[in-house]
Amino acid sequence: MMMNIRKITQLEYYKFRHYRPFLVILGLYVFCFILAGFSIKSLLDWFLDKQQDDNILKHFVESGIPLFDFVDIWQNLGWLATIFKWIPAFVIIISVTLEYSQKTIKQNIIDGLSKKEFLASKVALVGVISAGSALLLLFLGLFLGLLYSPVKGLPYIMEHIEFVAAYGLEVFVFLCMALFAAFWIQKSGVTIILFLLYTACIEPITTAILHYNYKWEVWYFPVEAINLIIRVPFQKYALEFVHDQIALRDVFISLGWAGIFIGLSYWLLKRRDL
Amino acid sequence: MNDIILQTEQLTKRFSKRILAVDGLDLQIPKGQVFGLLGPNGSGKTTTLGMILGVVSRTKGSYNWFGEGDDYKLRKRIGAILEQPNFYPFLSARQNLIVHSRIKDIRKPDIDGLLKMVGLFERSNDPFKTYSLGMKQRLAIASAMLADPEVLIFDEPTNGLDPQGIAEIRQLILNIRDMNKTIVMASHLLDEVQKVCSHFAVLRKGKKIYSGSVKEALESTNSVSVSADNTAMLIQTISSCPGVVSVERDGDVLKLQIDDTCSVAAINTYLVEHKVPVNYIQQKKSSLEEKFLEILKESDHSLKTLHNLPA
Repeated sequence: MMMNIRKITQLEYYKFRHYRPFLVILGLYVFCFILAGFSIKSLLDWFLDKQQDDNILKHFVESGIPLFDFVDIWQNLGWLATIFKWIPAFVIIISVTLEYSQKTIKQNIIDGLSKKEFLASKVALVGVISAGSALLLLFLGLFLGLLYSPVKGLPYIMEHIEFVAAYGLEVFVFLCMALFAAFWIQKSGVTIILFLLYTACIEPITTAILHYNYKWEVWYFPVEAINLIIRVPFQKYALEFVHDQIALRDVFISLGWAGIFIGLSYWLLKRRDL
Repeated sequence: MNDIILQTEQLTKRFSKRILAVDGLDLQIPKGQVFGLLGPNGSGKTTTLGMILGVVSRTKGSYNWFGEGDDYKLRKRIGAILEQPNFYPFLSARQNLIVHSRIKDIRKPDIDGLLKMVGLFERSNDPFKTYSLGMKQRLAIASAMLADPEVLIFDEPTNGLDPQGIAEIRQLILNIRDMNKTIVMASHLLDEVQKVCSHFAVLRKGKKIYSGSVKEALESTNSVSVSADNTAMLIQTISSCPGVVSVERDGDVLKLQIDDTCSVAAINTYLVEHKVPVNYIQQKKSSLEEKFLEILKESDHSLKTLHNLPA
């Protein structure tokens, strides 16, 4: 059975292009993203300026932190942008729970949409927002890199540009998780609170305890796996311990979680009466 | 050429061990019929419609649209509203209809025409959430008509409306009926079914306890009122008229119960032949309400006799 991709994407567009809260949140996302990008440098300068008497930091100031240097910039920005992925997650949660609260999902099905198509239209929205986020990172990186980086050749720009795609993947998997939460709980307020609690509190604390106290491997937990796609880049400036590659294991685990979240959403949708 | 629009076989929905919402329902709705699904609140009307529209899963049984099965794509040929009108509150009537037409794969929907038909053209660019209930219901009818569907399904279409709103919605449904569309309408308002429908089925606790045409249901309990100047003569003559089951005197008027072989015309002819001039004769149609109560009573009775049967 072929699904009409154009139809399901258009459908989401028609539904939400006039929904102001939706547009405002997405606008805020873009705004925060860009604002953060432009303020990192001044924040850092200010911070280092205040700590002049610290010898180690002083060393860094003199050599300059290569935050925006090409090659490094993609991983640095990608990791910093991680924090913003909650904003589009709320957009996804609102878009799904609104269909339940207004019973428009029921009317959609009555009108002749299959449950599979309905889910696909939401996954399409997730895909578009993820791709948009990656593009945003790409433009921001290019702009800041060309502004501050001491090296500017195309080969330098292209090296490690896969971190842009990795960021897109990270947002995609995270939004799939939000999608599942929304299909599961169906009420916007409760979903947002529980999603926030789980992703920012419950799982990080649980995995930390399991990892440090009981020596568990925790890379297969969903939020952990999503966060591992782009590893913390800054150790390399202080320590010799470097994670400047994307590990295929993390990519596959994340993709697996995306599949599980979409599959579970479909299962819930199929099983429940509307 | 298959003229059956909808057929259900042993359609059953069990919500839990104790709640059997629909119990082995068989329905057959031919093309062109205006079918009323009648029953008190909680009798399984909405659940039945939910099942045939794919939003409520079946426990057992099957349904078949247009003789082609139960695929979701067939629903694009149906215009249906269940319970409340459900639209995107922040979109205008026009934008909502665009979403609907996208789902139904309609390339060039006649949105202006439909909005004019339901009298919403002037307000078509205001958000849905600013509409009154009557306007929402009218928009729902417009959206149901969007695909120029073969069959329309209305669930309690006048529920919660004021008298003017009820009159408007009824007129719209009558107009749609006159376009030769098949209509399935669930209602607990007998008067509504009597005014609009050609056929009906009565549901009670998820079971179909009666089905037939509205006309037959009303005629089968026909009584005729007759009066003449000479009442004594009339009584004498009429008693021997074939087809008259009983005669009852009510002042100057006689109330007759007649059977299926008899008609008002036959009585009139008979009386003229026997030289009893009549000055008043009228066939009194019973209302569906009487019939409905009678059906419910019968079903109560049959249930009781069923329970009285020795094990």
